[in-house]
Amino acid sequence: MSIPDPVREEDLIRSRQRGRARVMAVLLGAFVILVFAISIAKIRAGMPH
Amino acid sequence: MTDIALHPSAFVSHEAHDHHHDTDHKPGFFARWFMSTNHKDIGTLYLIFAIVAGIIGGSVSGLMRAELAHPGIQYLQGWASMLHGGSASLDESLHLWNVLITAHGLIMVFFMVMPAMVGGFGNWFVPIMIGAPDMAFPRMNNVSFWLLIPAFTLLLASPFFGGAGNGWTLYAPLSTYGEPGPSTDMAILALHLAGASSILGAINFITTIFNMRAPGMTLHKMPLFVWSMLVTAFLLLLALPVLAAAITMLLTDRNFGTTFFDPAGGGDPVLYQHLFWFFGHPEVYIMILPGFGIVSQIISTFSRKPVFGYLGMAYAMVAIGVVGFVVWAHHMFTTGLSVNTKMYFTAATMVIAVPTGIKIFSWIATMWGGSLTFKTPMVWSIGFIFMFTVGGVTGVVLANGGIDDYMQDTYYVVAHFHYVLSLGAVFSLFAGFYYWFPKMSGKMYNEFLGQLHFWVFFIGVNVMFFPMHFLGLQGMPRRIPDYTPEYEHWNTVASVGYMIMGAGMAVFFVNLIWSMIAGKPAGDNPWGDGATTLEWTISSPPPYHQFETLPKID
Repeated sequence: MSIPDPVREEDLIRSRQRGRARVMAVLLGAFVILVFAISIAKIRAGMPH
Repeated sequence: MTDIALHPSAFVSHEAHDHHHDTDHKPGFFARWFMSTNHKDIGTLYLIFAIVAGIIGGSVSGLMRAELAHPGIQYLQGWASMLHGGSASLDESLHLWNVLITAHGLIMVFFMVMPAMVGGFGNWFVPIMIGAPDMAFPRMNNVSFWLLIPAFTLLLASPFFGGAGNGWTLYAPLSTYGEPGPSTDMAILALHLAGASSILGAINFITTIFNMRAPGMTLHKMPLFVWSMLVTAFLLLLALPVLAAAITMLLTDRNFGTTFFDPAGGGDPVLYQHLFWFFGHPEVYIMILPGFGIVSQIISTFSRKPVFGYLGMAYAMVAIGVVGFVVWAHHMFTTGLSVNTKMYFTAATMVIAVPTGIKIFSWIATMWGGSLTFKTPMVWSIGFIFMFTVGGVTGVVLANGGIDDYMQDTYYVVAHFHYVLSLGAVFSLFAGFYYWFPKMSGKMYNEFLGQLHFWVFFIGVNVMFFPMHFLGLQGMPRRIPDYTPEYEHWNTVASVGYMIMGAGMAVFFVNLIWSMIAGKPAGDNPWGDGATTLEWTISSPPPYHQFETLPKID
C-alpha cells in the first residue's frame, strides 16, 4: 500500500476548503442582496398607490 | 473548553517548518501596510484605526461633558463660531450640540468598538485559533478595512458642511426633510460604506470559520472567542442589509423625491424606526458578543480551568443572537405601540436575561475553585462582569414598557447603555488588548501601569456614569446642552468622572508606548498552563504566515 504524500494531501485539503469557501461566499452575498431588496420592496408594497 | 491539546508532533513539525522556510518573509513597508492581505497586519491596521477613532470620539464626549458640567450654554457658541467662522447664533450652537452627540455615537459604534472587536481581534485571532493560515478571502479582508477610511473621512468632514445633527439613529423626518444640505447625506454615505465593510467582513468570517478549520477542530472544540465571532458575523449579515435598505430609502427621500418615510406621500416615519431598530438592537449584541468571547478566554486562562459549561456558553451566545432579533421595538415603546405589542416586546426582552445570566453564572463558576491570578487582563474581565451586570439590571428595568414610558429619553437610558457598551464593551476591549498584546507585539506590557490604568479608569467611568442614573430618575432629558440648576450637582460629578477617566487613558497610552519601546520579551506563552488555545503554541509575535503545515487537533 502506498503512503499518501502529506504535502499533496494538505494542498488537496486547502484547495477543497477554498472551493467550499467560494461557494459559501457567493451564497451569503446573494442572501445579503436578497434581504436588502426585500426590505425596500416590502415597504414600497405597503405604501398606498 | 475549547481548549485544544495540540498534538505534540504536529507542533514540533510546525515550528520546524516555520524556521526552515520563508514564513517570516515580509513585503516592503508600502506593500505590507497599504496593500496587505495578511490577517494579522489587517488586524493591526484595524486596531490602530480604532484607537485613532476612539481618541476622536472620546474627545467629542469630553467637549460634551465640559459643556454639561454647569447649567447654561458655556462653550457651545464659541465652538460653533470657530467651526463656521464669524459669530454663531444660538440656534447654530444648539445645532452643534446635535452634531456632537451624533458624531460621538456614530464614531464609537461604527468606527471604534466594531473595528476593534471584529476587525482587530477577530482578524488577528480567529484564523490562528482555528488552525488556518489566513482568512478565507484575504483580498476581501483588505477591501473591508480600506472601505472604513473613506467612510470615516466622510463622517469627519460632514461638520464642515453644516453638520449632521440627527443622532446616531438618523430618525426621519429630521433626517429626510428636516435637515437639508450635504452633511446628512455624507453621514448616510459613511454608514453605507461602513456597513458594506462589515458585511464583507462577516462573509469572510463565516466562510473562514466554517471552511478553514484545521483537521480535528470541530465546531464544539472551537474556542469561545471564535464562537462569539461566528454568532456576531451572522448578526451582521442579517442586520446590516436592513440598515442599508433603510438608509438607502432615506437618501432617495432626501434627494430623489420618494416618500418612504413622509406621511404626505403615503409614507411613515415610524416605519424608519422599525427598520433602524431591527438593525440597531442586534447591533448592541454585535458590539458585546465578541467581548463575551474575549472574557471567556481570559477567565479560563487566569483561573487555570476550562470554562464552566462550554456548550452552554456557546449556545447561550447563539440564543442571545436569535432572541436579539425579536426585541427591537423595546426602543420604540413611546411611538404609539398597542398595549399587546408592548407586552410582547417587554416579555421577549426579559427572556434575553436568561442566556445572559447563564454566561455570568458560568464565568463565576469558572473562577470558583480555580487557581486565580489577578493579572491585568483578569482584572479588566472581572470589571467587565461587574459593569455589564449593572447595565443588564438597568436594562431589565427599561425593558418594562410601562416604566419606559417615564424613563425614555432621560439620562437613565444614557446611564444604562453606557454601562453595557462604554463600560461593558470597552472593558472587554482593554481586557483583550492586555491579554493578547504580548502575542501581537512579542513584548510584555508594564503590569503596574496596566493595573493603575484599570483602577483609575474604573473609578473614573463609575463616577461619570453612575450619577446619570440619579439624573434620569430626577427627569433630566438626554440630548440637551443646558438644564435647570437642580441637575447641576450630579452633572458636575459626572464631568469630574470624565477627567479621572481621561487620566486613566493617559496611563494606558504611556503603558502602550513604554511597552513598545522597552517591554520585556514575552515568550510564546506568558500566561502559563491556563492558556491552552492555539495562539499560545506559536511564537510571539507569530510568524508572518502561520500553519503552512496543518496543525492536528486531538
